[in-house]
Amino acid sequence: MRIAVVGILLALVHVLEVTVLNSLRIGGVSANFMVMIIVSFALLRGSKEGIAVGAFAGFLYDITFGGIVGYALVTYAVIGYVCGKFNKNFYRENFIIPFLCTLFSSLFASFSSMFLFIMRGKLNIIFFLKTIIIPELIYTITLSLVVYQLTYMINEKLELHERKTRNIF
Amino acid sequence: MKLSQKTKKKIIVIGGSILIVLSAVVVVGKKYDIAIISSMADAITYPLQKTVNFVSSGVSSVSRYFTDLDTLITENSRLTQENERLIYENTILEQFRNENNQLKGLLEIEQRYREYSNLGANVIGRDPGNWYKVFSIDKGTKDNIAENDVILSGGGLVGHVVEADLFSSKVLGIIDDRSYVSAKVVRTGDIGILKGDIELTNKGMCKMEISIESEVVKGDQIITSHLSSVYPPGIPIGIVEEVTIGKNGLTQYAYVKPFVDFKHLENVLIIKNE
Repeated sequence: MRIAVVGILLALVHVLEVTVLNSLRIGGVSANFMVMIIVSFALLRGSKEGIAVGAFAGFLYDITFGGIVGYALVTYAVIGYVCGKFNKNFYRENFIIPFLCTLFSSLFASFSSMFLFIMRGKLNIIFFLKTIIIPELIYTITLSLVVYQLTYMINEKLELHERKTRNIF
Repeated sequence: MKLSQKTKKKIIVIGGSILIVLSAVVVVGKKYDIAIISSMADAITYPLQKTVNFVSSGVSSVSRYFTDLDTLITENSRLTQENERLIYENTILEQFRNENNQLKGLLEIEQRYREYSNLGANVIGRDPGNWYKVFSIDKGTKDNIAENDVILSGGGLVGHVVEADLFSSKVLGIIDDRSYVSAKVVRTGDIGILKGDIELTNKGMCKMEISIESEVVKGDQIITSHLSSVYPPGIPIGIVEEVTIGKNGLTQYAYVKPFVDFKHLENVLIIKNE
């Protein structure tokens, strides 16, 4: 049940990101919705599920648009794993840990993309920071406040459902 | 009919979600020209429309036979006059055509307008990230699309297919940082390399590296060169907006504004690479 719901959610977000959300770009920069979802599920459920969600989200990106299959997969899986480590000291009413996690995850994802450019000799890091990384970071953090409410709700429903099925046996 | 509270709630939720999905399908379909709903409706309304049309045209043609004789006679004389005029104009145009062919042969620009076998497609997805300009289109290997097929839009070059799947294929745009095109300045005939550049990608522009001896200026037109193994020669790419001299003093950079608007790319044309 959980696998199906989260899988469908990720596929849906990916399809929306590829089609409709492209028209939500501000100054040509779009937010990274996958990072928001990975961070929220990792914080709510721990590093194991964080890795699974991150790997699946990265895989979706890799098979549709990625140049090197596995690059986004590993990046997102690392984000899921590290954020999942904060699961133990995370309260659902707390906003500071999700905020910091999104900040560093978005930075990490951007830097890993930037690494590919640096390897090809594009060394204008200040330009990258100014026009792509920082705007994307701000956009992602702002929208994450909305997305987290959604993922919390979905997770709560799933946990309720799991508790019910456990009571039968 | 008695329904329990739970079933009522379920029906409302299911109905609501069906509505949302349908409206989303219509909106997305309209945006990308995918006619799902309208083609379903077409199957129902088409036979009805056909019969109604047949009956009404049959009835009106019988009644019109008697009323239209007068107008037909005047129409006929007018058309004969016009026909004579058109024959005269046609001979003149034929002369122009021959002359044009001769001149084109002299200038060797006939390859610019050569016809290629082509196929239309819609853009169905764009890279969600901020680093690359990759598109997916709704034609794949089932429509004989292969790697390195060339994509055009509105007469300008968009890019080439880097990966063909069964139903869709991935297109690398010329403004993507990983793209290289061998290009030519139409006026001077100089050949250079047109590269996508990450610093220009979001402005929808690209950069052409060209020899310092070239006299390229602002406003020059850029087309694909005859050197490329991927792109056929003579496809228009864009207009030079600015020329700067490189740091090493051996090359100059022409900033090219493509004819294609990459932000609002919707319909594209695929050219087979033979």
